[in-house]
Amino acid sequence: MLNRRHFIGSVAGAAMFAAAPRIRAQQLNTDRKFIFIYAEGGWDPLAVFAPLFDSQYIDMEPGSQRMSVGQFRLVDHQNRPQVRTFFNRWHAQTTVINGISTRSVGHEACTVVSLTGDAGAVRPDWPTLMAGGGETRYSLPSLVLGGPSFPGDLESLVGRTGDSGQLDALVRGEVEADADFSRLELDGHRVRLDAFLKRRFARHLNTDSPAELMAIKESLSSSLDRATQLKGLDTDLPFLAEGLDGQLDSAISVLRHGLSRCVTVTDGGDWDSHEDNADQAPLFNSLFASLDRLMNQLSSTRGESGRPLIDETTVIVMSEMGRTPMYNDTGGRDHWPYTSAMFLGAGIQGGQQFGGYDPSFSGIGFDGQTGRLMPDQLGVSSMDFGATLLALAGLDPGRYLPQSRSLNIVLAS
Amino acid sequence: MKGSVLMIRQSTLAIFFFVLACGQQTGSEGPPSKPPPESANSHADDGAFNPEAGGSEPDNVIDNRPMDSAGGGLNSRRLLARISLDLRGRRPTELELRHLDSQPDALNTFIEQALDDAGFVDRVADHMARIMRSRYESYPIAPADGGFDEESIQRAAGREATELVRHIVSEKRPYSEVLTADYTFANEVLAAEFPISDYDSSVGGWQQVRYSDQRPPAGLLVSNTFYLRYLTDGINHNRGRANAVSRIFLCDDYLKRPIDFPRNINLNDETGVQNAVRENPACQSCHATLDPLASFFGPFTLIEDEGRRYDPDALDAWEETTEVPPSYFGQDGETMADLAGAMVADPRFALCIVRRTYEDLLDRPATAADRIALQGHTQRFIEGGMTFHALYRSLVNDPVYRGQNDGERLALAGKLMRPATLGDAIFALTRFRWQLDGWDAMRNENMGYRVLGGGVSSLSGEFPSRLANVTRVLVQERIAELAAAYVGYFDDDAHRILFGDDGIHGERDFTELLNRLTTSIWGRHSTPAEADDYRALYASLIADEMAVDSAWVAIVSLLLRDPQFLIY
Repeated sequence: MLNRRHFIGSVAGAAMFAAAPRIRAQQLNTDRKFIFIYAEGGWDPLAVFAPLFDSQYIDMEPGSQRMSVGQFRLVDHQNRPQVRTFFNRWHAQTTVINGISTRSVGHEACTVVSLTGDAGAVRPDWPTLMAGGGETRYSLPSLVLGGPSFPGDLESLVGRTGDSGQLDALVRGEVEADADFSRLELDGHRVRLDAFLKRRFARHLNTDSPAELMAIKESLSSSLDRATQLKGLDTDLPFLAEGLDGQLDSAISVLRHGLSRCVTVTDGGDWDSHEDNADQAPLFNSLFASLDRLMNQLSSTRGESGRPLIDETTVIVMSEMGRTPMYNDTGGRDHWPYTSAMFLGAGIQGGQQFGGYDPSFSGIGFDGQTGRLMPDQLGVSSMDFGATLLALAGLDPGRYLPQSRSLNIVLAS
Repeated sequence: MKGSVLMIRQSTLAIFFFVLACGQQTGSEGPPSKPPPESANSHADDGAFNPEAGGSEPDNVIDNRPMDSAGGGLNSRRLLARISLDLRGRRPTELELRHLDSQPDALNTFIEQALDDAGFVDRVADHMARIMRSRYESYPIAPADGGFDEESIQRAAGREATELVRHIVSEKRPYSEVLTADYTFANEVLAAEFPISDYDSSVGGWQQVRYSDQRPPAGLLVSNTFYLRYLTDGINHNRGRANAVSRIFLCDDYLKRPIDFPRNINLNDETGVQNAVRENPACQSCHATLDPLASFFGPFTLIEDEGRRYDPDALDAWEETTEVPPSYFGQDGETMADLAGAMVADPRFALCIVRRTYEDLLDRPATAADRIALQGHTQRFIEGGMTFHALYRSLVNDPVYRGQNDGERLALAGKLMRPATLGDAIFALTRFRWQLDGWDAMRNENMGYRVLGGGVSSLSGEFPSRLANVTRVLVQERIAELAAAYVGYFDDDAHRILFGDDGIHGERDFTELLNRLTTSIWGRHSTPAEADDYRALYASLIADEMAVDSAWVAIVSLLLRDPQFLIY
């Protein structure tokens, strides 16, 4: 029995690309793009966004102090100087939403609520919906380089790269196996085989099928189209990314080449600071350093329209939950059902801070038209947060979230 | 520490959190055992469904009945393929198809044979592994000096639960035994790592064994790997484990209950939290039942640190943790055996596995319209001794499963092969299994191809997608290419079975060979138009100086990527 591990078609990529007709990656497009950065584990708003120094019910971090930048009222600490640096540079392009309610203290439920608005929802998450509302030409409408994803019935729009660049290997035909495949003579012929299969799919689509079955066939067909596009790209595939900066570099490359409308990344940090909340400091410092780097890159990289990417890209930075207002016995903070999020870049009313927290660190909602705090409203609804994102993406929130209201004050006029 | 009746201390609210859910665990078990692939000319066991004994149609028969059901029921060949793939993980052979054509009444016998097939055990094990989220590779068991290596430990740990399930399925034991068994399963690795004394090392392999540390008989509820999969800590006090048990066996996930936390709640103070948990309606809606459930788990609290041993002296640990005595929805108890007994007597226990399996086979979540059907299946499951055989027998007879509309329930017109089924079906045809370092790529989580191919992560455990996406199509392409190359070039026996004794090296009639392949892979002959298409493709490949066998490898890879194969 053959058992020697072998890299399939080690020259497959080169041969394939040599044989494939080139597909121009760059086409004129003014569709707004989105980068979602997800801090998994639950960040602590009290470390940056919520300077609640006057509440007897809240343990603020020793050594932390108030910081004002523009209209922002923030928390500063010497062990995370990158936060200060970031806001000093980019406050005019930044909006903070405080007091978002994620209606649970479990990671899974909060993650689902933060990305779909409802723990029991079967609807696709915000990046998938937003990708589906964009132009249809993207090879990977919603690309997940890292972090959570709940595509629901729009699965065909979502592509994941895998933890170690497996998508790259799949596209290039270089996946590993234990068996010896030193002879695999399909290299250079895959375009023809894909075209043949595409015709087969078309025949299947022409048959009269129940809607559910037709949806499966259409997903196969459209996904084959996208896979074929990827194989034919005249650029290096940017899917093998490590760390947040690496993922953000990939995200910029993906947006610049028009491969995706939405890209989701994760910083990979363990924000779940039950043992010691001081663990959050280096995470925030690193995150904001990466955000600063990202904003610089978006400013200096031209997108498909020829304008800087920062003019057509909105960055959403979020976490599934907050941390408790008081330290536990080990100096950690546990799970808390209110959190904060940030919008950066295009399409938003920058330099603004909306929503808030009361002295007990419960969230306070705000009027979506005026921005006025509404003390009687318990937090900012995740559904409204999502409706705002959909509006930002040019979608009608009422179609997807009929019970919600877009927080239009957040959006650029 | 600051404190107030208005505020809340975190430690109590941490009631819900799962430490594990925050980690980066992944894992899987190795490839399941499988019988060798059946020859296109082989036959099933003796009995009423004996293709060789039955009449057959001419070789050139083409099933021209429509592939798609419009709610009037699948044609018999597609129904046979669906049942065969769902129960055995492989498509029916040509002889089986022909036999059913001539003797439609033989379907029930086929179902019984399929339920006794080794592939059925694999299917149920896959199903339960997804529910239990047991296939990942970060069990917190550190290799000891001179002991087993990390990979061996992870491989073994991921299989304790599924080996128990496999035993229950293959021996036709009642499903309730997953919670009441007085035994578990171990190989030489787990026998060395866990307090197990009756493992026969002279025999080796996976054996039925017992823990030797006085733990009560409660099946998976007392299996070490359950506790190493779902960890707890000094704040959570086993509530995460209690929720895992509730989610897995009762289909009741406390974490899916959104809460509007009131402002007048104190989560910052230990006493305040305890008060909130007992008195505040928002908290009580979960904690009134969750905390007494968690109180059963005291003897396992330190299992990770204490030699992975059960601590029979910790039955009263709840007095210092949840501060409520153990009970199951008001029914008092003390040990895990009490909890297991109460759970299997709960009507939700049977209904839950029926619902999960119904959803798995119909490839969609159950809705209110399914209530009556679920009741019927549950009744037949119970009447059938709560065996998986009885459950699947009932489900594959459901009219909706068979492609017929039933009132508000719409027919299952088709579904896309999930990674494990795809891998098994391809293995049965080609003897190729996509493996890396011995792991099955279509089952292993760490390699990533299972999730990219449309499977479910063991971390999130969400329902698998029923649609394709880019990565799923690419995984389908890669495994199809690899399998086609394997059977085309490398494995002579598999080659002979798929292509016939003449293979693809000599002169062959194109249509004859194509039909041999489509019959095995699609379950029918090609239509004239299809044959023309493939002939044209073949000619173009040959014209491009591709070798004859490589051209057939290309054709096999396409047949394996075709909706006729992938949708069933």
